[in-house]
Amino acid sequence: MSKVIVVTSGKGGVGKTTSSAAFSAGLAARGHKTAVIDFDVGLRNLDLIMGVERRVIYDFVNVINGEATLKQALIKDKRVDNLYILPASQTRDKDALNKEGVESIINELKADGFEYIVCDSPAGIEKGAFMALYFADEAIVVTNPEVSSVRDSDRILGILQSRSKIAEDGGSVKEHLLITRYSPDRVEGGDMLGMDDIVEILSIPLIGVIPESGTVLQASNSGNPVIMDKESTAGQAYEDVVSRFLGEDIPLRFVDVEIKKKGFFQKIFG
Amino acid sequence: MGLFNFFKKEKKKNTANLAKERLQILIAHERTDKSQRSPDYLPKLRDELVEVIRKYVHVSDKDVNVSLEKCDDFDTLELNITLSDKVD
Amino acid sequence: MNLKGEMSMLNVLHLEHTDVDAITAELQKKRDEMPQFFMQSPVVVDCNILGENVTDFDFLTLKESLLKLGFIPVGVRNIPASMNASLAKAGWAVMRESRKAYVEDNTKESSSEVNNESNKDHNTEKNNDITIKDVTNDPEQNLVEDQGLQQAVQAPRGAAMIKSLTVVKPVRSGQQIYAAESDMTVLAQTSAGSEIMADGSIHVYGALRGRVLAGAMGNESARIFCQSLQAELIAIAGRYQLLDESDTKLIGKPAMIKLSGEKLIIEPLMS
Repeated sequence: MSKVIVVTSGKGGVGKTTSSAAFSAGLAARGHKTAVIDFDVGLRNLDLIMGVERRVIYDFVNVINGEATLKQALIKDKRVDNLYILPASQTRDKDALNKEGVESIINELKADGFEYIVCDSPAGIEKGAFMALYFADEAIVVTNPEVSSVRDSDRILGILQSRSKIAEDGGSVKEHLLITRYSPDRVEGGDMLGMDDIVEILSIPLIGVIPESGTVLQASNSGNPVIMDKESTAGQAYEDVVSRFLGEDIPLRFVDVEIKKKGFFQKIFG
Repeated sequence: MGLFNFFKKEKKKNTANLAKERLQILIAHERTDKSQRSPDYLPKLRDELVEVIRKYVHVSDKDVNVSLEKCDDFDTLELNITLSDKVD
Repeated sequence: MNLKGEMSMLNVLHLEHTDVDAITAELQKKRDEMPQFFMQSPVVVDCNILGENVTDFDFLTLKESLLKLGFIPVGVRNIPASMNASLAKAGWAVMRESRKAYVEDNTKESSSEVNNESNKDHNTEKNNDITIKDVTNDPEQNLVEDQGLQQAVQAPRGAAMIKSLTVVKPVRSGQQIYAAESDMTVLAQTSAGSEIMADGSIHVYGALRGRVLAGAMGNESARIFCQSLQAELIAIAGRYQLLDESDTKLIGKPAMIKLSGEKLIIEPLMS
C-alpha cells in the first residue's frame, strides 16, 4: 500500500526541499521504493539539492502533457537504490499543473510499486502548494522557530484539513510537525521559540527537530541530501525523523544545550 | 580565526566552490538559446522517430525511449527502441 | 475630552456596478433579512472594483437611499483624488487608505456573509446552516472578490433543528466557521487568525486564540465560554473588544464572556 506524503509549510525558505530530499533519501536507503516530486513548477530546486540537475531531460509537466512517459522523466538516483526524482519544469508556471494530471502520475507511481511518494510543495498557498497537498495521505509540516513560520504552518494545516482530497471525502490527513533550523542555545537564551511552545500552538504531533547546522548548506552546495552526512547532527536528526515516520519510538536528540568541550589546541589558538 | 581552524579548513573540501561550479554550468545551460535546449526538442524528435519507424515496424509510443545525458563537454543522445515479437 | 484615531467595526459596501437603483434594491433585501443587525449601522463605500467607472457614480442618491434604509453613511474609500470635492459636497467623508483593512474587511464578511453565501458559493445551498470556509485563492475557480476562494462544507440537513454545531477539529488561521441560528461548540483549539461566529453562544474546549463572535445576528443574551482565553477579538451582538485592550486578568484562564448593557464582561469560569 503506497503512501503520499506532502512536505509543506506555507512560508518559504524554511527547509521544505532540504527536508524532502533528506526524508525521501532516508526512506529509500532503508529499502523502500520512493519517489520525490518537485511541485515548484517554474522555480525548481529539488534537482539541485539532490545533485541531479544535469540529468534532467523531461519533467513533471512533460509527463502531464503527454510529451514524455513517467518512466522517461523519473531520474534514478545514483547514490541510493530505490530513490527516484521527478523534477519540476523550469520553463513553465504553476498553471501547467492540474488535478487530473497530478492524479494520473500519482496513480501510475502507485501502480509501479512505489511505497512512498513524497511531494515537495512550493511556498505559498496558491495552486502549486494546493496541487502538492491535494492527494496527500500524510503531511510533514516544516516550521522554523519563528512567529511568521508558525502562523503560516497553522494556515497550511487548515487548508490540509479542509481542502485536500481526504478532507473532501470526510477523512483527515495525518499531520507531522518537523521543526527545522532549531538552535537550543538561542532557545535557552530566550531569543527563540522553544519546541514545546510550537507544539502547543500548532497542537500536532512532533516528528523531529533538526538543529541549525552548517552541514545543511554544505550538503546543498554539493548536491547531496544532508541525511547522507552521517557525521552531522542535522543528518542524524533526519535519520531519526525517518525512523519515527516508520513507527519507531526514539527520543529527540540535539534539542538541549550541549556543554562544549574545547580541545587543548583550540583553547590556545581558537 | 584561530590558527587551528585555519589548518582545519584547508583540509576540508570547499563546498562553496563546488556550488559555484555547479551553478555556472547550470545557468550557462539555461541561458543558451531556447531552440537549442534539449528538453524542448526531445519530445518532437521522439514523435518523429516513432513516425518513421512505424513505416517499417509496429512500435507503440512507449517502446521508443530517447534520453540525453549531459557530461562536461559533450552530450550523449541515447535511443532505445523495443521491437515487439509480434509481427503484424 | 479626548480625540484619538481608533479602529472601529464598520460595514463596507463594495460597489460592483454604478446602478444606484439596483444597489438600493439589493441593500433593502439584505436589510429586511436582518433588520436588527443593520439598524443604524455605519456604512463605508468601497469603490475598488469600480475602478475608473466610479466617476459616473451618483453618491448623493446612494447616500439618501442608505439613510432611508436606516444605515448611516460614513465615507467612501478607494476613489481617485479628483473626486474629493464632489464627495465632500454630497456629504461623504473620504477615507484614507490605512491599515484598517483587517478589521473592516472582516466585519464586512461577517455581516454580509450570512446572506451572500448562498449566491456566492455554488457548493452551498440556501439556508445552509454551517459554513466552514478557507479564505484562500482557489485555483479551480475564478472568483472576483478579494477573498478569492470560499470553501463551504455542507452541514447535515438536521442541523437547524438541533440548533447546535460541534466542531471537532482545530480551527486554523484563515478559517472561518459560522453557525447560523445555532450555538457552537469547538472541541479543539482555535488559532490566531481564525474566526468563529455563531448566532447563539460559543463554547471552546481548547485554547481560544482567534476571533470569536457570539450573537452574530444581534442576540444580546449569547455568551462565550472557553477553557483558555487568548482570543484576539471578542464580540457579542456587535459589541466587540480587542482582548489586548481589555484589563482582564483572565488571559490564558477559563472564562465566560457576557454582555451587560453595552459592555462586555469577562468573568472567571467556575469549574
